[in-house]
Amino acid sequence: MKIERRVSFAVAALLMILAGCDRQPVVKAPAAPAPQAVADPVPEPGVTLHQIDPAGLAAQVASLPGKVVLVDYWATWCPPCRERFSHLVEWHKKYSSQGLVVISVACDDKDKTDEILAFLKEQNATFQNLRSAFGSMEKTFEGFSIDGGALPHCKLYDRKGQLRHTFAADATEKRTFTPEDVEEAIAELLAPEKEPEKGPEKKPEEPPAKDEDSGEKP
Amino acid sequence: MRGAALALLGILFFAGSAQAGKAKFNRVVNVGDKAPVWSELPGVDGKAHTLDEYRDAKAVVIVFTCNRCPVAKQYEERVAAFTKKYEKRVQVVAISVSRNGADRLEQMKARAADKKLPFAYLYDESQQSGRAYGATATPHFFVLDGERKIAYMGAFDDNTFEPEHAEKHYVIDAVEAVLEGREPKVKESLQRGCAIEYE
Repeated sequence: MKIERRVSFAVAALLMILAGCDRQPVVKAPAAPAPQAVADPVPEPGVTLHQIDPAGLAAQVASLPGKVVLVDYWATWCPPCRERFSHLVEWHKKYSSQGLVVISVACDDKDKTDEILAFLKEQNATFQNLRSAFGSMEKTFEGFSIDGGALPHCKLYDRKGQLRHTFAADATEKRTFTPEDVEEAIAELLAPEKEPEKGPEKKPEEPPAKDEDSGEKP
Repeated sequence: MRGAALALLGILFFAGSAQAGKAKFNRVVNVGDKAPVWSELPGVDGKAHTLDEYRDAKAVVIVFTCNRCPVAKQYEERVAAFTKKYEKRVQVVAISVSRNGADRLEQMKARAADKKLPFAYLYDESQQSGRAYGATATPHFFVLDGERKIAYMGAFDDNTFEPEHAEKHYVIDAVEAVLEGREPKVKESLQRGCAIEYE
């Protein structure tokens, strides 16, 4: 029952996203639920672009149980975003077989659709590409919780759909995050969970083992 | 922890800096805090400048910006027009903390001359002023009142690419409030732009 409910929710989430399509034909939902097709958010070949709002994106992430999801917020007007974008393509190729799903969200106005698509095609970005329904306006930055109001910005979710890392502009950090930081976090979340070691006998007074991956990046 | 320690170190460089931030969009300073001061920063005019030298201004607007960011460039004209409109009462100070090659002092001088920028444009290679203000984006604005406390921080307005369609004019409203001796209605908004890269 749980699986059925999850599939129904995933289908609904996919339909919500497709309903906001910018310029591509709406893809018809399959007649019967096809869990595999829904779980993989690349239903169309080639480079596509759809419009989304924060609720739609949350539903999209929730519809991907078992996947590590990287959401990259970028814009055509953001030079470092454009410079770093090739890493998304690289990670999509390198890690999708291990369970990584890459989603890009362009924080651009609707009149930039052609420019966004041209860039995505140039990059061969065949993963899920979205454009904020609120364009470059403050509603985009507040709605998607883009901390510091600055791009580039990434959020990384674990296989349970929990937000585990936020890569944001932050004046309190020693240095701004790099693509290497993001890849390291991806690899960490994709790594199979370690089985707890079965020692001979555990003393009751020993403190519990520390969870290395707990919480979001400060 | 490492980041917090560094931020603390940065704040120590700036006399009168703020307490721990409780603001919605700023992790370092809050509205009402005493504005962090800098000792001397080189300007595009070839002179060194301090915050204290603007003591006669009824308000000071600080904007963290840079040459390279398209959003920062979008706001140049708006900030220039604002500077001219309020020149007798308000001092506008633009600060770049960018270490990108295109944003160095020589490039800033060239841009200021080319665009005839009417405001002070300072370069802080140490990046400490940006850290002390918790600046994250270019442009990121701070309105300081007569006592040099932060009266407003965040965006200039609510429309980056179509200024004629902006409905909220945060900085202008905050400055008007300060000049009239009252608190701004909106004290904070989310700044929007290119990430400031700290090294």
